[in-house]
Amino acid sequence: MSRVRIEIDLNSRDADGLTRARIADASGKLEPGQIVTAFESEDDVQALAMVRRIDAATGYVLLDVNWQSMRDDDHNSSAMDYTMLGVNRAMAIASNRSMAASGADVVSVRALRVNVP
Amino acid sequence: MDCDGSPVVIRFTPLAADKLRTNAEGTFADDTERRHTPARYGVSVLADGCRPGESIADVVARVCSDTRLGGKTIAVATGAELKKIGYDVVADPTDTELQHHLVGEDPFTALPDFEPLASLLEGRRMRNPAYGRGVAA
Repeated sequence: MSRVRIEIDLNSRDADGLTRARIADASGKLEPGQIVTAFESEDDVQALAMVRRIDAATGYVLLDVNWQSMRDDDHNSSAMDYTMLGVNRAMAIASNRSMAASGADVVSVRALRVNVP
Repeated sequence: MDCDGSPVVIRFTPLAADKLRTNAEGTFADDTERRHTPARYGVSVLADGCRPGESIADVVARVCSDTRLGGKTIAVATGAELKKIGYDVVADPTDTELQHHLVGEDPFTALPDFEPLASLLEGRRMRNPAYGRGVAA
């Protein structure tokens, strides 16, 4: 299953630590809790990210980027990257704790389904 | 480039003018959402002054080691150099990025021409000395 790619600015971080990106810069449909590949084309790097909030009215999405997963961009998100599963799972667990605290149960379930084989 | 008494300004990629504009528009959206008055058009950068005995390379190494931001490439300039081409640098710290600043034209209520900024930064590319050494906690 193909993972959506979305271009980010490596300097973008709001007061909550989230990265603002434009919905128009995503390669596919986005929904809260979804794991995507965030990339920056000038630096040719990519990192895993979770969609935390979508504001269709303004055209922005807020991403929780796992900066520890940053690496050279392979320009291919079509296959599951098993080398990143540990990082991905840790990210899902951490995010789920945060989401659970805010009562977003559906998002939490979706995140674990994607990341735990 | 030596410490000139103004902040040492560091930006990760992208550095292209259209991407700087996009970043400034994102800042405006963020300010609007958080009801910061007035909402500002500013480009996100990190910046800090030289401490006694520090060179610009020392500041760059320190700031890049402390930040949670990451990337292979950075561009470095001083606040005085930016002022010469018409830009102001203002502090905009967050809980997670104490060195976060904005670059724009005071009072940051309009989008400036970002071509001169992009041109300066393009010639100041260097490798992030902290890349590959892990991300600051």
